[in-house]
Amino acid sequence: MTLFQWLAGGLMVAFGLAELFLQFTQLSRRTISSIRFSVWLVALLLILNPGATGVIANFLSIGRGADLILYSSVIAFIVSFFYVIHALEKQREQLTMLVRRIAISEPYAVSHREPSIEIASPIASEHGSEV
Amino acid sequence: MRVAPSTLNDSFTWIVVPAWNESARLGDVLSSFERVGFSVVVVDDGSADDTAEVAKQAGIWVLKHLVNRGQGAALRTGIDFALRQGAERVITFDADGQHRAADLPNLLTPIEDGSADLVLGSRFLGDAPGIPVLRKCLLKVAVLFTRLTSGVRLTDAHNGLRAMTRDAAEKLRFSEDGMAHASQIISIAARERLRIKEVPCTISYTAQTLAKGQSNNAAFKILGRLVISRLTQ
Repeated sequence: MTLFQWLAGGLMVAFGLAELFLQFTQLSRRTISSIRFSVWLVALLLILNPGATGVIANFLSIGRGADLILYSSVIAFIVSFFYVIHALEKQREQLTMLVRRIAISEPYAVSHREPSIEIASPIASEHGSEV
Repeated sequence: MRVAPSTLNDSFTWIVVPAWNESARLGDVLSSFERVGFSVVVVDDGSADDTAEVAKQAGIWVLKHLVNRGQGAALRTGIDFALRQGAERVITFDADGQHRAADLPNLLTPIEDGSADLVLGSRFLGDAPGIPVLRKCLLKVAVLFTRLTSGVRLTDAHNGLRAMTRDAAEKLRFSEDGMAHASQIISIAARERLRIKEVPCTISYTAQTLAKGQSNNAAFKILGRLVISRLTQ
């Protein structure tokens, strides 16, 4: 085994053990943890047996094993990018909903008009001014 | 300002004014509503200045976003609040002094006579004194883009002066927080088969409003937002 295989392989083993520990202690969701464990396992197998990428690449008519890794990385990056964008969009919408809910529940009411919804605390109190 | 008694002085008609750092201009805008007599709600969108204080002094409803979320988010907050208060008609009105309260009777006429669910002010049917040439070109491109994406033929796009029925306000559940909400509103209106009408209005471009208003780069940001919105939905 080369030095790279020791270092990278060791890292994959450490990641895999960490995933098993998280699953065992129920600190991680089972499905996502299993997917991550599979990724570390496949990476470990390919690191220990680099020739396997070449065989798969040939089977897929890609050519070299390194190209297979490169193309797979690009696809993984694009998928991750959209996943992150989607998660950010969801968070943006949730934050806006939260800000909106607070704003509507704490209106600064016109003095001569009774608000028709329950007011938790007047907004003016946040600024220490009149209500 | 000519006041039409049949449409004005009506507490069931709500004017929603989203405002972000508009303390210098908001007072004049709110004063212009005094003769109108509609209910008014200002949504202070996390301003760093005295926007909320200026609005409170005008004796109207004031809502405050704790953090800045964008004009679209502030509009939706104001519209939701107005609906909860029993609004039958909702008007959206910019806080920077570009719109004129004198246009409100015309804006409400199609709602009152039942010929439209959503009425949009159009500066190109009306007047836009002082509009920069580049801004005019970008707005025309926006009109074309709106036509291509929603199928709705308009003369003006991204004009914040609108009036809508309660039913339309409930259906227009736009989710865009920023300026892209204007395009989204048209798309949803088309999808919900709302009857849309344009009426002439005047948009005043002054050094102040141009300094505070959207930059021309906003067009590209809006386009980017609409693409992301389509991809992630």
